[in-house]
Amino acid sequence: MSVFVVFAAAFTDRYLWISDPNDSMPFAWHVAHEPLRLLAYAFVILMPLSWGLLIERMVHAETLIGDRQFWITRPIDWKSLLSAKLLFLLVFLYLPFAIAQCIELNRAGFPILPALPGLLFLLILVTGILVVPLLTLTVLTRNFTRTLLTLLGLVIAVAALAYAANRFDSNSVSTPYSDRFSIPVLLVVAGFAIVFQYARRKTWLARGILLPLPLVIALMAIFMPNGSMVEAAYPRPDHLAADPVHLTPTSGTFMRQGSDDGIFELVFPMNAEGVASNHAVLIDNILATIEDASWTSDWQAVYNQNVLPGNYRSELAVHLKSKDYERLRTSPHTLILHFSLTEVQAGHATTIDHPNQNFSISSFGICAPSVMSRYFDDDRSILCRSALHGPDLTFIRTTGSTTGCDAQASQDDVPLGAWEGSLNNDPADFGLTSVWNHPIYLANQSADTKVSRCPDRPLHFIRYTLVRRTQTELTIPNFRFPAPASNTITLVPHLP
Amino acid sequence: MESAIATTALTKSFGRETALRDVSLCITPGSVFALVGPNGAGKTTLLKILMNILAPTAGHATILGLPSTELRGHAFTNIGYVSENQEMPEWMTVTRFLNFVRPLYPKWDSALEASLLQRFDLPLNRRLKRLSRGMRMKAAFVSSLAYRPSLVVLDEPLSGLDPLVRDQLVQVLRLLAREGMTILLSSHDLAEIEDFATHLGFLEKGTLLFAESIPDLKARFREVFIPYQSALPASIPSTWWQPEIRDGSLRFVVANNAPEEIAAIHQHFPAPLISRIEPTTLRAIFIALAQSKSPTSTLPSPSLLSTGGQREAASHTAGAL
Repeated sequence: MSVFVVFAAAFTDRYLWISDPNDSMPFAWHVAHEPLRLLAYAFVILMPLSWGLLIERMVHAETLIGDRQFWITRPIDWKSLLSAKLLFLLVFLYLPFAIAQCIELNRAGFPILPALPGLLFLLILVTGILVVPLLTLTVLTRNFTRTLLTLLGLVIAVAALAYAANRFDSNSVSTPYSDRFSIPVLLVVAGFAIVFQYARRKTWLARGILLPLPLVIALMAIFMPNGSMVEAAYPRPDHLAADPVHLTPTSGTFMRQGSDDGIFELVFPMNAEGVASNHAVLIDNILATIEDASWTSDWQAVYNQNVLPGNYRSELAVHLKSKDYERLRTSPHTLILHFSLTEVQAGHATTIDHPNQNFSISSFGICAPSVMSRYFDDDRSILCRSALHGPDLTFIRTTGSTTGCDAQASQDDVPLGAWEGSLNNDPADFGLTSVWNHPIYLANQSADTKVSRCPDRPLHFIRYTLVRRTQTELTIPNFRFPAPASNTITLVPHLP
Repeated sequence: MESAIATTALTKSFGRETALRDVSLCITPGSVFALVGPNGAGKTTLLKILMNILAPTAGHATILGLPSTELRGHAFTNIGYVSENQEMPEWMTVTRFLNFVRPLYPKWDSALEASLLQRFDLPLNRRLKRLSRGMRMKAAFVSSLAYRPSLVVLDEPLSGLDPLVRDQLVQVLRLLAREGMTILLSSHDLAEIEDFATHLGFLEKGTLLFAESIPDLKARFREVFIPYQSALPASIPSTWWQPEIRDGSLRFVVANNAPEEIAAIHQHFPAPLISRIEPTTLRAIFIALAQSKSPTSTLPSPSLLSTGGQREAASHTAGAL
């Protein structure tokens, strides 16, 4: 069954990314694709479930737990038994999955040979994130019911821990660190528990081997909090180094209710300028300090604030607890905002002169204008797909117009652009399909007018590479906290 | 090899509970050793330690010359083990099950397998989980005997089986025992094993009260009958076990190897009064030994002393001391 699901997912996956701008089929035809899209999603969801079932049947065929006399008192060599199980997984899980991913990549238009290292990396991720945890769970439980109950218990425990952690520290941060620690630790510890259980069949001892895992996670949380990761990844600049961007607060700082009760969002409208030519600056995290009140916020992620050369308007928000707000609102303070920044430099650029059909961009993927945009009066979307992981950090720009597009540039032309991808250079991201979809919406800064993308104007894909990561800070003297506006945005004059 | 199984001061505790206490035992190759005792006596614990399913708390055991704690994998090509609650891959049919275990044993005897299958009349295409208890036990026997192991360990193999199945299994064990296979089996029913066991060990509350060959046991004891019409005399020596008045006779069991016992009997009752001195039943010996050696001097459970012993009593002829 799992083999069927894996191949069914590979063959239906195209409905998740299919886009053919030359397709003259009517709207109804595209709507008819919706059930197939749902089917494709269903197969992707079924894949880990069928693997779980496969692993459960495989392991519990020779029970390791309980009154195990049948298996212990037979001349079965545990190494042979475990090897047979692993061989079974290789043949019925890994091999079908790898072949299915090759089929999927081929159908999506990606060459297979260059993708093989990434595919291998993906298999390692699948092993660490799905196979080994499932294998460990089944090796340490007696039967299907107990496996299922243990799994449910773990899900509930993790959800409760996540909820508790969120209550404790609800702010996430953006760091360049991808998790290169958890999977190797899990593979080593869980792998040892599996081998130990097959070799000795001492279930409680094998379970005991896993105990250090939550301990390690707890220690990591204690000794590697989010803030310290930001400080490590974004070193403070020395005095001679120039800031890669100059941020200036503009009037209109306001306060609004955050997504959680008891949390407010303090929003600072900013002007960002001074970015060097051919460079861009990504504002990744923000932290606020009021020294005279001994208050410091946590480092908090900032999303979608990538600054290009020129004058750029931005809104940066800091979350703070209502009790802190009540304490700080009474008097003016000297507020210091710290920013963690990533400076990137424009590199290889690709121009697509007539982006009306499928086109391929090196280290980005295969793109096409959205088919559905024709029907929904939205012609600024393009759909891109990439193999095994998201694309490299790329700025996509083109031209739009408010009055209709001419072949030549005119004064009604409006620049449109979008950032896509990341600086992460892992050969693969974890996923159960190898083709990653990226719907890209080309935005303009003046959202108050209707701008259409000019379909005959070229699309430019500019790849950016890392220059440095650093921090900068901005001091706002005599800052007084504005009153919160719960549902409406209230503009409050900035002081001074 | 001096012994098929040897244990020295074997002890097993579960928390504060001692399931097995200082069990020392020697089972010679080719013997059929019946380990009897009431439920909860520690029989299964002892067998599990011998098969390395459990680790001993103290003491040690050797099985076919190997320490029991090192018994695993290849060592089991020469050992068969069947337990009352035999775990098996329930989803397999009998044929598939045998196909599965067959390659594990280099000495697998297909002719013996065929012979056992024919004798047991097993439904080959039925899944194990669909078999009756007796049929499952037969399947377990085939899978554990067809490779002619030197040692077979059976934990209550006949318990709860109907007489027909029991007889079929006993016949097979008897047959294999004649070929020199060492068999260790546990039972809480003396009648189950006395027909074919060569040695007997009695385990009670974790302590091995005695272990010796059945002919020796039978030779060691005699049952004495004296015509006697009165009530049970008050001054009976403590070495006269199980005294009772039955059918106008005073009956008791004495050890056969002690001349002073005979003298004591003659002192109480002149020779002409003694009507019979004859070999006694295993059941009577059993009760006598249990009473004399048990720390609590309790009788073995009624289930242990079922009617099989009386059948044997009827077949014995009278003998003199």
